[in-house]
Amino acid sequence: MDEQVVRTGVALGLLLIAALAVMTVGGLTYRRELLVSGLRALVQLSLVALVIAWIFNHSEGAFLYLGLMLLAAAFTSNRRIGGSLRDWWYVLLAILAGVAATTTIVLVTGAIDFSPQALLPFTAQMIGGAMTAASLSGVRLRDDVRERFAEFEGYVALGASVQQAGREFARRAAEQSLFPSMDQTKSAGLVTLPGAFVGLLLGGATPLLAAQIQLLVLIGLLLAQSITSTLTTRLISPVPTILAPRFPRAAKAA
Amino acid sequence: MTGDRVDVAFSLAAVSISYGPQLVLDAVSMKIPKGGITSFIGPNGSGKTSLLRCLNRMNDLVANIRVRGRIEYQGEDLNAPDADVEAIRRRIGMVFQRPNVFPRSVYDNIAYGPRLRGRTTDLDTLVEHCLRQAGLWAEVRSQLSRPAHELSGGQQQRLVIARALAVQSEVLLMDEPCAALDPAASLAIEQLMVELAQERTVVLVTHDLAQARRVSGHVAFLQAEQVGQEQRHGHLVEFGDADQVFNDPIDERTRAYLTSR
Repeated sequence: MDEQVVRTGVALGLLLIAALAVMTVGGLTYRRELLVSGLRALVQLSLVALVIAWIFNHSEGAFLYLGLMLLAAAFTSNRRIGGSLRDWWYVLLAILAGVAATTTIVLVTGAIDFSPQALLPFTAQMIGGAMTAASLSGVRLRDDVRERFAEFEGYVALGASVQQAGREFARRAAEQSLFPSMDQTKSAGLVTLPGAFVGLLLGGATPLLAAQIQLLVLIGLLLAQSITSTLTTRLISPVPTILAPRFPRAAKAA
Repeated sequence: MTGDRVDVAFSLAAVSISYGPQLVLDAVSMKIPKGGITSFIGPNGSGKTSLLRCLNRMNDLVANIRVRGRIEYQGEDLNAPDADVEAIRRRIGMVFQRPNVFPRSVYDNIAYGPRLRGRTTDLDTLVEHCLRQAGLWAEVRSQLSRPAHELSGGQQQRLVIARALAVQSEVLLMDEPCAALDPAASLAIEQLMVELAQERTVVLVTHDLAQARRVSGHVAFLQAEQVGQEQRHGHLVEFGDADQVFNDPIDERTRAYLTSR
């Protein structure tokens, strides 16, 4: 095992040095960023490996870990969208709903064991995918509204609330956010070998098992993301937090 | 005029508008009469459109805007904490400078407002009625399912007006409704405005002085100027009966503006 770690370390060092060398020869800038991202990945994944190793022995820790991941995912997404605190709650709810629905199905059917070893990586994948869907759909919603603001005003001028007017833009934004996943799923095995599949093969699983797990992830993501995108685009405010105090009044207890 | 309540649609008292730290309109007070057309005229940057958009709270959608003063519609404070802003916007409709039809059929453009309120019956009758009122029925009766953006600019603008009529707007706020149209289409909108103003209040922002002269019952002239050390900002120079303002303005600045055009 120790020997394996050393070999991995040597390989990583060579890979990184080779990448830097190529960049230097090719006159590419951003060498520093490349180095930093490589080192960050090294530190982060090592830490995560330690944490997960601990969790595999203390299953209650898995929930804590996933909970933190959820919060961080909602935070990241909402920051990308530029949402308010209230929007953060909605994004969290949207991600949670997508992840919960998917995880419930794979657990109830017994496709995945109710054990940290199986649940943690699967759920983490779902959280990551749902986060991407929330970001893409939310950003898209606000971009569309900004681009077609005259139309948005048209709905509002007829008595639609800001939320109702936003709904006219929600469906398209949600659809658009699902294309990357659908493309990825369509091309799985043809254009790319997806991550879980590669990982399982490297870890010694049979190709058949690797395919099963990968399918659960890919198709699970389709469900998680469609739920998350649909909810995100309907719940968050379609316009940045506007509505600064319009008519300042004498300060009054709220 | 008899009592205020009967004849006044909007009553504005010391209305000031700023965007962030920038004051754009200072202390406007006036009473816009009920019925007929009241026009806001004046050079660019005098705050006409900003003022118009206060009258149905469309300015709520603008970031950093601050409106002070009091605006009443038929005696009701439009900015009261418990004001139903969606209801206000239904009662006080708006037509924009560029026709902003929805990416749907002609029919669905008009049905949007009523459907929003849960109306599902008699939509056909309502759609026809509104299109007739907007003088568009003869042109589109056979193409109600056609995408609205395929209509001509003038037809689109009349569709937008018909859409506002479908939610029973008592007032139409029109922000340069003819600015993007050719002369013939512009004239059609003008005639429509005059017709509609027989039964409701129309407030019009326009740069076309000839048009304002033809259609207005009352006129407000706004101008931006530098006063002392302050930043340049708009204010109301003169408000009154259209004949009086156009033919015998009280303020020298109004006279100068009218003759310079």
